[in-house]
Amino acid sequence: MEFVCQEGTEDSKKLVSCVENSCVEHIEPNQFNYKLKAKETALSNLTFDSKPENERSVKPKPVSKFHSKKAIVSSNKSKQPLSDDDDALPNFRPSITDLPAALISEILNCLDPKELGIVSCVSESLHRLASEHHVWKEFYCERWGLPIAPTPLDSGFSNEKSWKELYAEREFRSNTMYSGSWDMTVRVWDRFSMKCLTVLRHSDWVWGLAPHDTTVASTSGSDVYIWDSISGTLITIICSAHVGNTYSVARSHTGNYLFTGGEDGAIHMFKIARHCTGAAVSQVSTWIPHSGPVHSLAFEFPWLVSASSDGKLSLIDVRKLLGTCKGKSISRTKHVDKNGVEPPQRMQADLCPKKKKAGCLPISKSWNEAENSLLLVASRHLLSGV
Amino acid sequence: MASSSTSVVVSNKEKENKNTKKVTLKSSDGESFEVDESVAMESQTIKHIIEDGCANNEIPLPNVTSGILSRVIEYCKKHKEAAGESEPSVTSYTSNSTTNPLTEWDTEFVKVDQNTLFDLILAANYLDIKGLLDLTCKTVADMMKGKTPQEIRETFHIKNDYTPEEEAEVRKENQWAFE
Repeated sequence: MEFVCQEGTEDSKKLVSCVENSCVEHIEPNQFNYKLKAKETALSNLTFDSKPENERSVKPKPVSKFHSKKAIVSSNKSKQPLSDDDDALPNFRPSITDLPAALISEILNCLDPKELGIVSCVSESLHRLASEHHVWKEFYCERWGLPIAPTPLDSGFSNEKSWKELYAEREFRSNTMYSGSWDMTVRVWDRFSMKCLTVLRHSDWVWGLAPHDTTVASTSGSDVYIWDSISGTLITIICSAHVGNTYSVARSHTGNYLFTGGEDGAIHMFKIARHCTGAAVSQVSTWIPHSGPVHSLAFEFPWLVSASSDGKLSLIDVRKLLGTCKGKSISRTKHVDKNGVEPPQRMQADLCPKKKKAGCLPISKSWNEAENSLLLVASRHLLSGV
Repeated sequence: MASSSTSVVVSNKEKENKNTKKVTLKSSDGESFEVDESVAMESQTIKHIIEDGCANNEIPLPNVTSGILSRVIEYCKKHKEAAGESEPSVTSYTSNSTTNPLTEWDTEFVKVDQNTLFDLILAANYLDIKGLLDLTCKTVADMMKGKTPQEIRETFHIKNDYTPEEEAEVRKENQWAFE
């Protein structure tokens, strides 16, 4: 705020002479505006908004120097000298937009996100001010914390969005709720109206859901569907992702990667590339850490955790996986025998605890030479103590 | 610091232990207001002028008319008094605190027409009186709350400079704000 005042002070000293002289002479609109513009971040598109139909005339009050510039410019017909009339001419009504941008910002500071969004719709200049306002970052962080930085995985990450856009997107996400059911549908709900917006139909029981932005991935039977939740259209489908049901699904925070866990104890990683008509899906990797169905998955780059009914959790660093298996995943992974659900038993109690990490719970580490990834396995009785 | 006032008056209604020096403030339309220096110093701008020793005769305030200046002085007086009576606080700029008894007075103070309100904002900004600026800005913000864009336009006489297409687009962009 200081800087505005200081400039104002300097301005006023310059303008003192103007004002004192202006009683008899008149100030050129352009010159006057220039002085102000040089100092203030005034809304330029408003100052030259001369509206003949609007009966604005020269504002006599010197105090409204900052917002009288509009009046002065628009009255190109009647260039009257600034006089010291105390009464405002009845048709002149200074608008809030005549205030310097810094002061409008100050006012907008008092509003909350929704109100700020509404103010954006009022006029173009307010839109600019409201959208670039620094409070959007604060609003975002207050609600969701600092956003996760883009990761190497996200080669398709778009250019930095404005804080307001980030907030609006996230806000949309937080307004919609998804539910999946054995009635073979996924329903999209609106938090405010508590109404079902869309119904997404599948061909089998829905086991798992993973929304991201305006899309939602759902698993049904052994298939994986990806939907656009606004329009309710199917973007793509991965058929028979697993042998048996695909129980769980997880996504990366950018939505480009999708992980599925199935009845066969396997975990697949897919890359999703959206394009205008749909999406291209390619399988990036597979690993089979479990001997039982994988019921849940959680992903936070670079760690993927899976839990299975074999009583184990497995923790995988996907970077290593990507580094070694990029583009050639299928050939390097173990093939799953489609005829039998039971995959080869990999994780047994006789794992050699070679390098025990200090500070960890007693879990054993084993290297998986075949896939060159690091797996941490905890046994069932330890889990219950956690 | 040199004594900057032409008339050093010992005030009869001394409420403070401080020196009740007076300063004269001159509005843009030539009216002079004599106030206690301490009251005038609620304005950081005036405070700097006084401290810099530039306030020899009167302090000219060409950006503020007499009508507005008298209101601003009223505000400063009231807040200075309240600050003096209550426990010494670091700053008297707590006009929006709910525990502050001034809140009611402030609410009445800002019940003015829009012109005056904006003039007060400009004056508070120019004179650097944080409490008054916060109060007036908040008042304007409150006038925006709960309104649709069209209502805001009408309240503040803002021209809608969007084309219908642009307006629809912006509306869509901010759809989440309307829910």
